[in-house]
Amino acid sequence: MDSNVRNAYLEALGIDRWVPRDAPPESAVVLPESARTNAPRARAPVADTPAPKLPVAPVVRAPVVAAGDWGALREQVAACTACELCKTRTQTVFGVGNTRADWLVIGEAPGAEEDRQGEPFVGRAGQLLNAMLLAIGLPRETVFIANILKCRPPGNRDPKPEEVSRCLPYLSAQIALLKPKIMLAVGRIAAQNLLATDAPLARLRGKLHHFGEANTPLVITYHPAYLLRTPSDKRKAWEDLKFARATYARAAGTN
Amino acid sequence: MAAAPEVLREVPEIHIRPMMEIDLSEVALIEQQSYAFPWSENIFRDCLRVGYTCRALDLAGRIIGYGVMSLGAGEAHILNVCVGDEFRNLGFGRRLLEHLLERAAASGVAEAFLEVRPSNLAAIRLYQRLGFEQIGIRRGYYQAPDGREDAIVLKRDLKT
Repeated sequence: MDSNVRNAYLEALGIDRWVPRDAPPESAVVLPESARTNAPRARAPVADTPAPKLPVAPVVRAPVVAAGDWGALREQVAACTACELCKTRTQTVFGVGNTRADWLVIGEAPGAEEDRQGEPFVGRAGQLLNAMLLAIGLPRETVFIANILKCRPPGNRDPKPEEVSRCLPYLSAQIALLKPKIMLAVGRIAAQNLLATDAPLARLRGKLHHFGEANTPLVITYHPAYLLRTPSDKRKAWEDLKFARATYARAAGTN
Repeated sequence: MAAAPEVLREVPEIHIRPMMEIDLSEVALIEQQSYAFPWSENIFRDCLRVGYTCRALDLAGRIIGYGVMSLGAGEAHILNVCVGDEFRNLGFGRRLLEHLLERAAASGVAEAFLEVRPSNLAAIRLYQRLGFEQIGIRRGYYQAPDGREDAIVLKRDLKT
């Protein structure tokens, strides 16, 4: 079987391909428009998959995002084909909540249930996030919740750097529209990508960070999915949330 | 602080778990905010050490209430049940009490007792709804701002 055909089959089955670290980067592969549709996986256009143009340096084609208004941004995200995740997603997960919120909660990427429902943080991790927010007096509908990635990585693998770099402009546009007074990043992936660091979460939480040109206060805590597996760390998450609440009180007080 | 939203009633991530040493500072904080004559943190620590049934109401890692009960000599004595002021009138006190009564029944005791200030009408109503009945008065049992306050003694049978 031709390797391109095999790869296309693997892709259609949602199976991650493992390649040697020193292999030419995958991101150089440019797919024709016909291969970027959201057609059901079983009918992925196998025959149309072009030969990879190798070797080429990775080309990060981040979308040009014009953050005019929420509706336009939402449409642009829904139609996005900037990375390969568009081929395996059921739908994009734009984010949800109050577009006038002071609080922006940022997670990693949609999971299976989020991909199905088109809303971030549904399921048990979502319930725990809601409870975490309620513990500081914030019902879910009073905040805005978004993810670093708008599409689900197959098998819930970690986002790839090129996926993050292509998707981040959307989050930046959301931040520009929302103008949050505080941001709360939940989990290692969100924290590391927002802060452009590879420091472990344990070193990032418990201190105040700032994000972007607006210097928005940014607090880091655990991802609720992690807390479901490690309930003994919920207490530390509560410490983080108290810290975020106090930070917000200061930020809101000075505006 | 604003009162808790109604949605809290539905939050599945609220649960009752054993109180631990590490919880004591938060428990003592709620106690101080709730009572004019609060138990000290050390009293709670002693309750843990002597093996009383100590429970914390946990909302995503935040303690929002607690209950303490002693079991012995065929009796359960409910010593302290408290819910933080932001989270009252949502049924959590009732959940804590029901949990303690279930623990008491499971341990085989026949009766549960508690004392309450006559001025604490909300608590008295809750105890009555849960089947407690007044069996007496302890005169001058509690400290009060203007001297002493009586305690109403309530009892509930646990054997059905």
